[in-house]
Amino acid sequence: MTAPLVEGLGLTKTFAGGVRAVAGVDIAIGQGETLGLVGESGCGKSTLARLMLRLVEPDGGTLHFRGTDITNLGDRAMRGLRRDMGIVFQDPYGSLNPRMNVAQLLAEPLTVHGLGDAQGRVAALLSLVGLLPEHADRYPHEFSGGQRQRIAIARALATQPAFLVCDEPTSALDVSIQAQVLNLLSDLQARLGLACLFVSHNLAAVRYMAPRVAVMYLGRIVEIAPRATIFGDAQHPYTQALLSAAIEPGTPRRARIVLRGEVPNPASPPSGCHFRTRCPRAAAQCAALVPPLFEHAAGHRVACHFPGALTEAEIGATARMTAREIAFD
Amino acid sequence: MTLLAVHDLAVSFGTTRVLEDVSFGIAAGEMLGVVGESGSGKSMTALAVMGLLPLGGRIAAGKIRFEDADITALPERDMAKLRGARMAMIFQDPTASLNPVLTIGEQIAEVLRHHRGMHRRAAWREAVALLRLVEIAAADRRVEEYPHQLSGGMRQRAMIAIALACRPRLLIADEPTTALDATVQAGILDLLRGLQRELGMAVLLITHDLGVVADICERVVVLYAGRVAEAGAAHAMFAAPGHPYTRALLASIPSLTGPLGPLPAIGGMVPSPLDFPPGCRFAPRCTLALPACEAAQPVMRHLPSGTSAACILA
Repeated sequence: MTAPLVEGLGLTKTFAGGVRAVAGVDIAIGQGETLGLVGESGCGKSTLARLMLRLVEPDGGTLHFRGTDITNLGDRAMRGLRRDMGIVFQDPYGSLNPRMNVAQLLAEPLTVHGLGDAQGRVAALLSLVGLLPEHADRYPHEFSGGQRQRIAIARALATQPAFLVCDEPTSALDVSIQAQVLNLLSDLQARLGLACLFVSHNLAAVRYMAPRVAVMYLGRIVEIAPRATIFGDAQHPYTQALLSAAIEPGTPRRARIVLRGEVPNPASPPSGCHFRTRCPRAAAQCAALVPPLFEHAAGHRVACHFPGALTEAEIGATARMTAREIAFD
Repeated sequence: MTLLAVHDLAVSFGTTRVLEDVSFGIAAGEMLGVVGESGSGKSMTALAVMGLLPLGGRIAAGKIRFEDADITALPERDMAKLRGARMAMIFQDPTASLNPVLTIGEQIAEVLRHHRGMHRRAAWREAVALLRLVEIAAADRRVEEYPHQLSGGMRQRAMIAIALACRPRLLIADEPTTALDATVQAGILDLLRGLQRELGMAVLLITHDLGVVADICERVVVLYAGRVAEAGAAHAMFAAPGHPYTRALLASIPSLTGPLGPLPAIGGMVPSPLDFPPGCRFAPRCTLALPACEAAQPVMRHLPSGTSAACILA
């Protein structure tokens, strides 16, 4: 990987009530690289994405952008940097001001950053995301969900950022529209050489978008590796459980790794490995020591004391564990 | 035996028909998936069966038969007796469906006392048994908890427990796992399948997710823009989808194993009920469409692959 464009070291964020959403995460994204970030709700993936844009202020760790430490950069200087960063949110209904027409929505970021001919850029931005010039005068409510997401993407790209965060960009869209938006994002990322953090709970969408994938569980990255490795040779038991729960039409479901219990309260996570309370492989060591994110193979890091594919016996045991306690009369 | 039979159902809001010519049946103990995108009419189908169409909506044509009785025009009082007792429904968002100021136990017991005339104490014991049935650990403790004390997956299990309180013959599940995480979803789907087998209950599963349907349904009805595009056995449909819409939809889903590269997306968007196209409603987005497709509504035809599709080219 080339020198990272964005790099977080030991990023930590604790919210009111002691909820530690992100607990000491190291993460780096290279120029023009797409990193996928997967995890289930509450794992901290959206908070981590916002930390990397400083939309959420970290209470530990440092953030570098283009090699400069921007962790404590003042508001004014930060504002200057913002034109280099963009974000697309999940909900294209909530993220566009309903009182502004498309031309205004697209011109606003340019005006804010004093980037000259805002009106002139609108047409170019519309065509960039596959919309028509006549769409400029319309308002968000006149568009479908997929078209709104195109507008949100155009707006995020208006200032020609180098770094784009996509936070569940297709989760609110219909299946037949999801493919259009994924194709558009993938095409734009390659064409504009964007560095991109693609956050999603949808494993297949992440596989499609990102050559490198990080898996997050309860505030920490538990595994990070090239796409083929994550989907073909996952070492962390949680990654394997996540993959085993994914279902795909026409493909028989793999033997499911049933996770016992629930995700623990992030305000009082388990000692040692955060996943140990649900892990079929947990041992005494897992409670005592936080497993470091060590290099398992070149480019493949795993935070587990006992990495490796779960055996059939281990998978079978997880299914029996939750077997019905009492039969219905 | 056919438990539920829907014949040429049409649902209107004013002069707008959101559902037209929808027919399907569910045998006792069978799991049927009704799948479609937003605006396909899948939720309206479920609500019409339950007699719960939103204000302004009405059944404009067709018949619904349940347990050999015509329930199309059943008075609300009789319908209310059927609901909860003979057929029950669970929704996407358990948080909105549960009463936040009553414990889980009180909400299950309420159904038991109302429909089965059980006494307070017996109803409470049954509530605990039902929570065990839906595999909630420490059921005797959970029964005293309020919805906000449970996780999303637990709440959906509690909803299922309420729906099962009267051991209905038909459970309608409208996007029951859409709001849940993948690992939680898998557990709920396993539970639904287990309950269907164990209790011999029929399940009508409404979803936008073809993966969910492929995972647990025996038969599938694919809706597009208020009409049935394709119907048949799940294995046949996923092995050899007959309708171009089903094919395109399956191809457009990113895969965990297939080749990478641009996804074959479906162009355009689902039409609004206000301007459904004449002829085949998928024709404007169909890459195979001929002039004849826009001239007349295609009728359902049996295909050699085992499904039926409304397409003149299938």
